[in-house]
Amino acid sequence: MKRIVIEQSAIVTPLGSLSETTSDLIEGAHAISTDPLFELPVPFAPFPDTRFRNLTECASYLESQIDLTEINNDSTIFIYCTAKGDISAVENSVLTPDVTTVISPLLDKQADMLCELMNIQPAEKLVISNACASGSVGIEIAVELLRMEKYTHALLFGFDCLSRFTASGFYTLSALSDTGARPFDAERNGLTMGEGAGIALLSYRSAYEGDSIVRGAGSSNDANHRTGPSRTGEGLFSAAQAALRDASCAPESIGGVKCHGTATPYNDAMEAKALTLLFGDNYPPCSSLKGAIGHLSGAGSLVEVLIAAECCKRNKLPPTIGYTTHGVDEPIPVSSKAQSLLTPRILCLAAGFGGLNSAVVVEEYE
Amino acid sequence: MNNMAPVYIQSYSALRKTGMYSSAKGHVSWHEDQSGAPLDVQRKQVYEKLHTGFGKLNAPDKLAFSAAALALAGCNEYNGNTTGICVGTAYGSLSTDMRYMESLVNGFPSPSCFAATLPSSPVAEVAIQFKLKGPNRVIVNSVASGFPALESAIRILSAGKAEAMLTIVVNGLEPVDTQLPFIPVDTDNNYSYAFLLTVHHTETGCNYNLSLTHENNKQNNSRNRSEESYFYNMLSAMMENGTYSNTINLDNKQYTISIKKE
Amino acid sequence: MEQLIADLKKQIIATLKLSDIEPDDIDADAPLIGEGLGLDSIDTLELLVLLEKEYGVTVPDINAGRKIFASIRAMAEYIQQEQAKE
Repeated sequence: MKRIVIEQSAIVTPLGSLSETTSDLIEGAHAISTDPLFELPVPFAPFPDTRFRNLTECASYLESQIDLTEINNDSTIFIYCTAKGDISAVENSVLTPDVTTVISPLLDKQADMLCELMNIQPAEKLVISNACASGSVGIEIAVELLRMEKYTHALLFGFDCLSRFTASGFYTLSALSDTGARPFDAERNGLTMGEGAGIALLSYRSAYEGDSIVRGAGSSNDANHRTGPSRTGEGLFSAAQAALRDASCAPESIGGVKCHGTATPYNDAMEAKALTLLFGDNYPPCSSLKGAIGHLSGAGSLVEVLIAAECCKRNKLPPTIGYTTHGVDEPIPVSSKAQSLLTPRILCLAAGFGGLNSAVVVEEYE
Repeated sequence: MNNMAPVYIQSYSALRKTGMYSSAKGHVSWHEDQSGAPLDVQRKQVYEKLHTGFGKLNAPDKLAFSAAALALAGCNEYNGNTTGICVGTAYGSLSTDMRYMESLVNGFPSPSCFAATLPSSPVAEVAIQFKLKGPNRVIVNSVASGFPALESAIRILSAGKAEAMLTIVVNGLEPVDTQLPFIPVDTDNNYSYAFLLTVHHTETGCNYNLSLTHENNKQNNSRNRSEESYFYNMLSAMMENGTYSNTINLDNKQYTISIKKE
Repeated sequence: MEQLIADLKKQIIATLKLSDIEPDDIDADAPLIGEGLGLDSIDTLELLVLLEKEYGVTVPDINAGRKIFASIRAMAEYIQQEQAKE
């Protein structure tokens, strides 16, 4: 039986590569820094090496981590998943008009640039910008096209970095925590922004034991508020249900949940309700990575899925950094310690501004 | 390869410099004092209900919402719970991004401006007002975003992930004070189109059978015509006799589209 | 006080670019958020900016904001109270 296989993947986060980031996360490390950034008095999860706060640098690094020589360009689609992409052109034209901008603000031109940089000429390029669910929806589209056998490979690229633009914006929305993101904790008071990029090559073939699989994906909309999620959790529940349906698996078969868990009062409350609608009181272990690496915006829903796939192989769900006292009404099993997965299959949730909900199921093929 | 379930266009609409168009009301001209059309569209012209938030919408959101309102007025035989949205946007929220940066530099960064600085913001506005809870995708492409958005909507419907899809293509650029590099300064070519697609027949809708596929053609890079000009042809044909078929070369792809009255 | 209320009505309509509404349509004692005028949390944040820009008045935190934005009259009273301190 054919499956969507993650043939290769790589990420770059403040904790390093995919392997480094996953190990660090499972061991309870984090990348939250209280050093002021952009003159804002809140913590961030920044790259220690700010060279990576740049689309071309991330692309060069990620390209060096995977081998694209075998792909057949004519049967490959490239999908660029991002909430804002590179916005240096927008910032520079207002803040430093004398500085020559080299990267176009147009996302499709950025996709062209990425392909040139990585020396590929894919048959089709697509840019998906679904707010914080961009990566997740990109995966859903890749799964769809590969199953239709329209292409043999899909190359996904996700990128979102810290910038004065987004940092000041989230600060103005009072969305940023002044103490650091504490997902599902009673004292949580906002999110912490992070940054990162990821790349993944997907194919559709008979799977072998040990392969990382994307079993399915689904999405929905809350139809509620411009930035706040619905209070009932029905939208995210509906996306999760759609993903499970697409993955042909029941809630009982899920070994763990990689939550969206931004640590805003409303998101976590909503998510706990969504998880309860899905699992009843029979929850698998749950975790949010955002207390450790912050919120990676659109790229996050690709990067976190790739980390989750890696976690399936290690049979461990990372601890939820910042969580000490349970702070949501429902008893979802979040922990400040790493938890063992019930099965090597993780449900990954993402929710973006505008009520965009998305879910992906990944597993280690047995 | 194309063994997909049939998809029908039930209603459609457009806003552009030459007026408003919809399957519900045909061609309606702008008022004489609407020289900034379609950006200065008034709520009353497209939507019956009061909507105090209409005035503050940025160009992409306002145009997308208006097209959605006109299209949905043409056919209400859809279930919001199983209706999703696909948006194709040329420039995303670029002019809003500039306005936000300007507000930042002026010392008073605007929260509501920032909340609209996402290419996906039109989805939010339409989903909230019309309670559309199905899947949604936002495709960004400065050359051709509408045809990919229609294709994505067709695939969603064929896979049974939704029963209806509202597909919107929008180009919304407002004049801004600061010149942005790389993009043509053409804030006079704003438009939006919306199509309500279903997998089922309806009593009040058009029931036009839609087929759209594409072949990738890397050699072909002709940019003689804009994507919008093709959409306008398609809309005009639908308004005239419900039939349109064409082979379209855009953005290294060759699209084959066919619309037939059932 | 009444002049301040009248000014605030106009400024809120202008700042939030509210359409379909005239100053006379706004009841000075009606709720602003959710029901009544139907503003959302982002509009509230925009009103915070308005208070600072037009009246030089700041609000200590979001929770205090909820009481201040309970109605236009509540906003006017807060402005007068804060300006009297200077």
